[in-house]
Amino acid sequence: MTATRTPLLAAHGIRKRYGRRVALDGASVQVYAGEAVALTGENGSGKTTLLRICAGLLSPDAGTVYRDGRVGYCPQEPGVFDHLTIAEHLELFDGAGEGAQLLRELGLPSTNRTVARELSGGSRQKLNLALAVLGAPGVLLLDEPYQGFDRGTYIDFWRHVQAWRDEGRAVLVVTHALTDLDRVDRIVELTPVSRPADATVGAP
Amino acid sequence: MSALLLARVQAHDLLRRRLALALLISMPLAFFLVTFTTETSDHTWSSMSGAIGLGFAVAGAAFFAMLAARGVDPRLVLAGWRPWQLIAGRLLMLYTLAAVIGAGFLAVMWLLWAPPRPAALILAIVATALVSVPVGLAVAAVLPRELEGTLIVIVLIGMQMSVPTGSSAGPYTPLWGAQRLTEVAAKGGDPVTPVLHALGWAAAVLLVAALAWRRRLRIGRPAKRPVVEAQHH
Repeated sequence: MTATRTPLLAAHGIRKRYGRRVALDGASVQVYAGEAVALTGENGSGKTTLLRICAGLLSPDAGTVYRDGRVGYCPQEPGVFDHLTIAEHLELFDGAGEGAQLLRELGLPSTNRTVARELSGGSRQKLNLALAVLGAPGVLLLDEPYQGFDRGTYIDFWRHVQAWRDEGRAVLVVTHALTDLDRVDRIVELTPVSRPADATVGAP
Repeated sequence: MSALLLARVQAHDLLRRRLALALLISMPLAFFLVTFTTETSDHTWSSMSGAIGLGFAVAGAAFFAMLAARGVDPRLVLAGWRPWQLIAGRLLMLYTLAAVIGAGFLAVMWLLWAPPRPAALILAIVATALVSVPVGLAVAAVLPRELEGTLIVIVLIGMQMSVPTGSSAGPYTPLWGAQRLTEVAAKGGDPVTPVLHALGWAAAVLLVAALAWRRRLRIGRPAKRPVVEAQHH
């Protein structure tokens, strides 16, 4: 069956070059409401670049990006203030309720007065993820969001992805892990631009 | 979401860096005292050195506050903050910091020196802070790299120590107004031109900082309609 619905996120024909290096050449991805999609590919295939372009944080040299509603973006490197506590981060991001709840479910209470730089790698990543889902964004762009998670938190993370999907959000997750591919509805694989194919879309 | 909230949270951030804070406070005092003890005349040079120390302190604080926010500010904009709120919040926090450091520095100068025209000395300190904070912000916005940016801040603030106020190049340097005001404090003269100079520089550098940071934080507008490729489910 050919889909006729309107996606919440649709990037089409994206081309991006850094100096002489072409990072993306005609890459496309679309994610519908209630869908979780994995974005995979080798190192240097442009996954992070495509995600940043989808979020609007980077301008493509060519191509179009359509977004319907608010976007939550979780960068690969935790984008947090080193000397602020979890509660101060939640206050800044205006999401004491939802963020605190997610952190509690991931095992990191928001009342923790530790500043971000003194958190463990996994805890920093939990905070990083929580900040992305504040404000109930319809589109979630998650760039390897579970680095440093222990096994239990990792499983919890994927439970949340299912829950976000069931709520009708569009979730795009960058991942390298083959085991993750069974947990999503679709896989979009990017190949480095020097390879013959630019972007391929396939079903798991 | 307001500039006040950001200023308060950023102040917490700075207050937790106690060593950095102690160094920021001691910089103008160190610059002042090291020259004060060897200067026998009117202390123009030592007060100017202290002002330069204040300039280094607040420009450095501004530069690193902005660098620390580089990875977070885009997320804040996605969360609904406007770039001008982020700049305004940081300006508020940094000018408050500059006021605290400057007041302490002035108190020490008062105790040791008793300048003939104290109002001009206060203006010199205000002018230094007024220009140096946006210098730090602008460098971070235009060249957000630690080493290169720090070197540029050192050049922009420190060059004043090698440019006499009477030289033809003087008025083209950012802290000439402050430098001239320290001379007015000791020897008298017209304070209006140097004050206008400081105001002009502060406005110009602030404009550069605001435009450059706004450009960095610009969120691309989405297309009005999606281009959808056929997919098989």
